[in-house]
Amino acid sequence: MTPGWKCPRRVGFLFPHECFRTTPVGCPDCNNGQVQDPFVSRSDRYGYPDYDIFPMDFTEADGADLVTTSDEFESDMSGS
Amino acid sequence: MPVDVNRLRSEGVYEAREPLAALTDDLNQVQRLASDWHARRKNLAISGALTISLGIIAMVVFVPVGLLLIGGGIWLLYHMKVHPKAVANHTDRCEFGRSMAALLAADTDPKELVTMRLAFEPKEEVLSEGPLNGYKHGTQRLFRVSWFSISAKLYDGTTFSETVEDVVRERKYTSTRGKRKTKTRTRSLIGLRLDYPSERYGDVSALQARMQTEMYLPEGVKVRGVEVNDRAIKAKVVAQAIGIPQLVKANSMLALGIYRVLNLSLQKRGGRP
Repeated sequence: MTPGWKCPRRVGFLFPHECFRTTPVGCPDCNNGQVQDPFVSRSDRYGYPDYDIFPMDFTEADGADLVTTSDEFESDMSGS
Repeated sequence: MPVDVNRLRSEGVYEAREPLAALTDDLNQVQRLASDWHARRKNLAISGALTISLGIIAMVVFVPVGLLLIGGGIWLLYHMKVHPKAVANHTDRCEFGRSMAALLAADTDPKELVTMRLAFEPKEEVLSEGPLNGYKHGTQRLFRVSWFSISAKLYDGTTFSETVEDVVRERKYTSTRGKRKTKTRTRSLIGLRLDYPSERYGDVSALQARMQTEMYLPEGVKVRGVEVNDRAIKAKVVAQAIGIPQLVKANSMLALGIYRVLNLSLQKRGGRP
């Protein structure tokens, strides 16, 4: 362990975040520092092989025709 | 933390609030217990049936011995109740719980306390009940059983909450041959709610429609609804009788589909993904 060492890589499954490990040795994400971007390199995302690449360009206009949310939204998790 | 075996035995419920690694250990323990109970139930059933059969044969030779054996056999069968059938027959639910822990492990602080509840014999909540037209003595009952829930705070400040419930349609009728029949059809409903920090992701309610259309799910699983506001995303998917492994897959794909859009929103805001 190197004192003060901070991992520069992105890790995570659902979203990228910083790696909190104090050494790459034995790291299952970067495989001892061999993988540059462990977040993108994951291969266990089923139907999302290119998870970090978005097929369409979202714009502010995307929100124009959206469905409104219901009043019960906050409290009702069981409703259909 | 040790598993509350008494509660598991009496109520068929495992519930804990602890780090993900501890939850996984607990679920391994529950699964071992359930497998053990399953084996014991099987042994007791075989022993009980054999003892009763021997008792019936012994009745011909010497009635008191026959009665004793039949009584012993009945006791063995009754003793099966000590090992709850619901827990013994649903070891796959432990697998589902472990998969949830694995899904969240990469994005949750290992010290963060996560709440998980796994019910092996959940209470039935009747949704509707009535006659089944076109069938002799036909009745139909629709009910749901909520058997899984989890709540965890992730690294990004989002609170991840999920419930899984089975919606069961049970039909009972008398067939043309006069036999009483019961047919059931089960659908699983996954309800996912993400209370996201808007200071990180902004208001993603504008992306609701895209969130639904760009979501990939396995065959037999359909989006039932997605609702988004400036603080939370709520999604529901319904799965046909696809089994636990496919349900695990559907679960991951649902979470990935929603987070993909959250990640994009963060990127658009200039945040470092």
